[in-house]
Amino acid sequence: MGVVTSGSLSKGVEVKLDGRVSTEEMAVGRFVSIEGKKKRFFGLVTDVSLGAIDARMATNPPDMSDPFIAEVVLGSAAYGVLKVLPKLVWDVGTGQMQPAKTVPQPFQVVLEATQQDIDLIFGQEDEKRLVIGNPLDMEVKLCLNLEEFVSLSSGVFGRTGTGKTFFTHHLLNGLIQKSKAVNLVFDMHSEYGWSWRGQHGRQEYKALRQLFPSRVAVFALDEENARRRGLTPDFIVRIGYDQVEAPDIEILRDTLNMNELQVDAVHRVSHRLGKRWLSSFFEVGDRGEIAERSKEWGENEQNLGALYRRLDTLRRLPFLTPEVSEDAVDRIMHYLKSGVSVVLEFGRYRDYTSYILVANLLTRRIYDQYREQTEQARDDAGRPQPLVITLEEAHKFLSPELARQTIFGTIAREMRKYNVTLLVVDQRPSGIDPEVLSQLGTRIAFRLDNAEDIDAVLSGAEDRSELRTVLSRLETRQQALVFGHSVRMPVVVEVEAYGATDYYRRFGFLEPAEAKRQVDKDIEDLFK
Amino acid sequence: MYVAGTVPSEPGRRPIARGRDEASEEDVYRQHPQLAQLLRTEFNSLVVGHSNGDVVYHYLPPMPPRIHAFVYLCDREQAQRFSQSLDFLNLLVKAPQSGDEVVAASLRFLASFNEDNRGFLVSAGRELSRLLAGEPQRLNAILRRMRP
Ligand SMILES: Nc1ncnc2c1ncn2[C@@H]1O[C@H](COP(=O)(O)OP(=O)(O)OP(=O)(O)O)[C@@H](O)[C@H]1O
Ligand SMILES: [Mg+2]
Repeated sequence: MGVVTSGSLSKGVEVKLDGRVSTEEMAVGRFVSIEGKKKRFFGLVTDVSLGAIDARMATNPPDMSDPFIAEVVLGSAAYGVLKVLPKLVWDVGTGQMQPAKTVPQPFQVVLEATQQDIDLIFGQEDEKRLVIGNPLDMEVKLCLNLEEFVSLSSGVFGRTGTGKTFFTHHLLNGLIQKSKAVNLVFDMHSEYGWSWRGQHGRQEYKALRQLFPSRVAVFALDEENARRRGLTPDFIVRIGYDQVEAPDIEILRDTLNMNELQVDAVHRVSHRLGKRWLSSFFEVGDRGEIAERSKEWGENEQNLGALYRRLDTLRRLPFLTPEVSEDAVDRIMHYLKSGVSVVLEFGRYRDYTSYILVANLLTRRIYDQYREQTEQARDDAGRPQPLVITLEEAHKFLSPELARQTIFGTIAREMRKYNVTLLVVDQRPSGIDPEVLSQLGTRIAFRLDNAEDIDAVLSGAEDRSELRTVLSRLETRQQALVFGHSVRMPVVVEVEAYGATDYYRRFGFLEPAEAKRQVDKDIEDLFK
Repeated sequence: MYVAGTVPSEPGRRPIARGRDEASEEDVYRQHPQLAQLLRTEFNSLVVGHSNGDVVYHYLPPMPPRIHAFVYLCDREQAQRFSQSLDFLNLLVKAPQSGDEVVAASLRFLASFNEDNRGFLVSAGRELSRLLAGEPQRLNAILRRMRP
């Protein structure tokens, strides 16, 4: 492909391209290897530019329309230059792979990486590695180590329509198939349970429950909506007033339009009224006793009145009821403990009040149980199976203002202590608390246009300025830059296409006729 | 070989046109055998390499050719052997005597001995691009003249 001409470890090495390789074929983000005598370097193309051995060429450019002249000049007097960021070194003798701490020697040959190189770095598909696609412009498979992936929180980012949801589905399919984590999905747009439609609604895609009928349960907040789609949820989630605590209200500050004084009052009122504080407070308001109680409790009457009116709007949410017969958290825990993942569909209730309230409230209590279980466990065997919580529109919970108050901020910060990690999916990473972002182990960044979002996604990452050019050159969909602790080096991946028959079959899905044949055969075999 | 021409042996005597009624050039010489004595062809040659036994060197020999040394046209095999390397191009383009036409023509000539005619011209062109990057006009002129 070319030879190394100069460079440094921090800024990358420059590679002069061969005449045979056109710059038009070279994309930023490509994966290359640099062949030395004892060592082989692996790196990422971070920039492509043009060079001429003499500046005077520009004033008298050769006639490139002539094929002969073009062939002569390219690669000799004028040539393409690649910037390559060397990330890994493979010692040919010892077979060891290490982070690059030096640069290749001058004039070493640069080659396109091969399947072997990719396998060497990312591994081959096995019981813990999932094929996530192919490296940019290479027809080879690229794997992600799911065990490492779930050991820290991670994020999938990209502007709308880039393929975040599709890729998240793929990750979840892999996690369930390979039993690397049990999942809890807060499914704001009802896409993860049974099926969902692509952007233009052309095709219907099979989701978790169809692919893994016995290993996924679907919970619904909106029963009517599920039934209308011909589906029977495993559980209808209702939240009792007594399950709502002051911190759950506090994070609704924005959506309920509450001021500081009202937030403070919530804490005092709930403290005063105890577990059933919300019901009691509603009763007080309903009976018109706000003025009286204000005096008694030493509260400002107007303030308390405003608080009542705001909380009253919560009563319009049908899933919020004074009493519940069965606690949703118990049911969720029951499934999670037996290794069954849970998708919670929000149906019609896609407003942020519902989403934030429910997701935070349930997760807070689930996390408590995980914490207890982990702390009681004497050894690794006693620890619960890793739980991954998938959260779309994550910035709603993890904004700088809320990240300290929501349970999700806590989970992201406490890292893997209690075997619970987050998989955040978001369009606007700049809306997420930088501290939380910096805790994300693996980041999967699809195309982002906004400079602040790009900065946010790369915050705390090595080689930010190089990755920034790579990131801003991604195609508008199905291409992502993957970097962080579960990949040995950053890599641009063209993600697996979702939805073909073969795709589903990989995850064990059989069409009904096929499934029946399989059952018949199994029975046959059994009695042989 | 460069600046080749046929001139009268006796300086100052201009050749007269002949052969109006002849069918071919040979007939002209047959009818006027003295012409062969009166005209003489001269050319200059630029040394771009030498050989010692089987080894070919693409740079100047330690001594120039002697007076009265005989001159032969390279045969196919010699030309092929010589054009294995393009190191002589430096001598060729830097010599004050050799113009763009000479460079282009000699490369076309060498290429004709090469199985891969175009491949040879491309490699020669690349070498020239490096040598003449600072003189793009000249480079362009030569390249245009050596297109296969
Ligand atoms: N892996 C894939 N396989 C097949 N189609 C894909 C894939 N990724 C993306 N697409 C196509 O791109 C469209 C957008 O993808 P997706 O819905 O995942 O975007 P998104 O990033 O989640 O957008 P939003 O932020 O609006 O939710 C899909 O409707 C689909 O047509
Ligand atoms: Mg989406």
